[in-house]
Amino acid sequence: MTVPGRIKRAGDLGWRLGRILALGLFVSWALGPLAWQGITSIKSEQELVRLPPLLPETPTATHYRTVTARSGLGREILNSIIVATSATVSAIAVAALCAFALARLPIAGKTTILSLLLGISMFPPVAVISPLYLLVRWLGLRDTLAALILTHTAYALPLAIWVLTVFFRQIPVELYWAARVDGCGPWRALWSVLIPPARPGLAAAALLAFIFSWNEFMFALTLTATDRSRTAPVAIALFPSLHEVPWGDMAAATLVVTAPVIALALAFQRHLLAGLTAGSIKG
Amino acid sequence: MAEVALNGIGKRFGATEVIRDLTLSVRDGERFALLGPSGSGKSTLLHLIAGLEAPSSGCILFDGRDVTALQPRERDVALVFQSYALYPHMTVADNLAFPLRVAKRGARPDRRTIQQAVRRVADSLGLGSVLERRPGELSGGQRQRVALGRAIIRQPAVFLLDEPLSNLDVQLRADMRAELRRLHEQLKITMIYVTHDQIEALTLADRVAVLDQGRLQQVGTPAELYQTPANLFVATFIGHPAMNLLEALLDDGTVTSGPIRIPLPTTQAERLRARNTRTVTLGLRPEQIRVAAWETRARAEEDRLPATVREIESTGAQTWATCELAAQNPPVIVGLAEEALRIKPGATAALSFRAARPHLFDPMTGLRLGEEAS
Repeated sequence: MTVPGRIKRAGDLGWRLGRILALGLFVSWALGPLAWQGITSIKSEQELVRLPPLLPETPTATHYRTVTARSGLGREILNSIIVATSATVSAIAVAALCAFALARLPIAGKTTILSLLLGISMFPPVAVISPLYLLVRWLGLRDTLAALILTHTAYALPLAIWVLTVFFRQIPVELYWAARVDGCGPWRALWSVLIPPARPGLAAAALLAFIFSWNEFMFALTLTATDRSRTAPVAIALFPSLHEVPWGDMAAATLVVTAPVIALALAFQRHLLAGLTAGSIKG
Repeated sequence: MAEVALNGIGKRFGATEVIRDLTLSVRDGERFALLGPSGSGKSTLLHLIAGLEAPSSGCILFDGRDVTALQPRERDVALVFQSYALYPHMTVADNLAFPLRVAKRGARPDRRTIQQAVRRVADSLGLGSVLERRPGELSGGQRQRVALGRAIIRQPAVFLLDEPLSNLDVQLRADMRAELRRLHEQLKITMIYVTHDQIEALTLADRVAVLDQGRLQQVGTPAELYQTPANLFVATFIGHPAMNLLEALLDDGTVTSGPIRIPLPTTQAERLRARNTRTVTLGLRPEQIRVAAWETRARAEEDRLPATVREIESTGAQTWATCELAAQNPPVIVGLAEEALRIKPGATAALSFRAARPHLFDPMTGLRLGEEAS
């Protein structure tokens, strides 16, 4: 009688070990580069180009000091914050209206519109970069934050519309009907009845838009010229000079720039996991 | 308060015709039920009255005013949904206050008035102690009351209910039926009630409209629907167990189906004389057929027919016996068992018929014969 039990337990153990191994692999794959940046950022110049040691013998904060002392980076992080925040807010505002229309209003060709959106989001950005550059110059927006905000909004929209359409559709249609019968026009129904239960969806879409805009490199590089409008990723990429690549400084700057996004993701986690429509209908 | 009139209403979704040329009028202050099986178009009809959908043809009048093109908010209707559709992110108090808060600027009451209205409605529905809770924290019965409260707080002209009790258990359902009747007495609002449950329709409504496949079958009081069904659909849909339908022949004031012979009252026979064909469908309600144990029949009663009992179904107060009768089509008939204890499946029973005015239908059209349906 004990034999099958033992076999089962052994199987359990194998299963558990396998799971731990898989998780470990995944975590090191995801966090490895970040850890490597962390190590690099606290190594002294001499240790940077040597291996071993893997870990620095004398950790140093020089790189962080250099980065914070550097004149431009503060301005460039501020630019990033302005661009990412504005692009997120405008993308979510427009996407919420689009998604509401696609989910609840009687309009023709909903499926066509949605597949068109998906098609646009799959379009490689590099294909539009030169016409976009000409357009921005013609509009007189070259080297302005507005150019980046507009571009990032446009590129964040398709995904945001998709995410929000799905979320709005998950909210029972009776809620919308009830709001209409209770006396709401479409605007009020959207604001008072659909937006609040869709908050997790809005948070998810906003986070995706923000991370996209924060990390976006190619448009930011092409459409900016000076630190008047340059964003943080571009600034870091411009660290290397003709004769040397300051790996330590770049690693430190990368971590400084990544920190806000991580903080944001952790802060939004609660909203992302919040229940969608608990208790609105039976059950 | 309003009289609701539907004139030649039709509704299609793409190629499917959900409602066809429907004309109906609901009197001011009436309790009216729309009864039909699922897919009969009754919920769609309710959405059309509420203004959530626009009809493909026809028009809708409230007190003679054409509201067909008006938005729901301009019609002054309230709708209670089957799923209640309470706003999950609002407290009970906010749910109740919502219709007042979103009223148009001119008609919007001030804060104090809204608070008083919420109090009053909550007290009348026994929700006073749960005002600060969210819908997710309420029982099914409480959610139902919040949905009702949200509908009546504005004192709408027309009060629409879409299967409002179908998510409640049987005991609660009876309580809520009484509650709905009490609310209606109090408010005297025109109330239109959609249900697939005939008991609900017949106990709650002044008049009932029976729908099938998007067509109006009959409108009448519960008694009229039961006593003079206009066609075979209404005849079989209303009443439980369902009416027995038998192939029968009409012959000079008597209707015959196999061994069953039922004389017709003279007025009914007169009206039927003009008909060409003699075949009819005879409808007998189970309670018009008495099933007694064969041994107990009195000698004098020669009209009693022998039949074999196949099944017994007891609903407590009554026992229904399914009997097999030779030479009649179909050969099975359901009747009310007398002396229920003595009738067992397999035994021979004596059938007698107490149909002073039997239901007769045209087998081709399904329409009632011999008297005008009301």
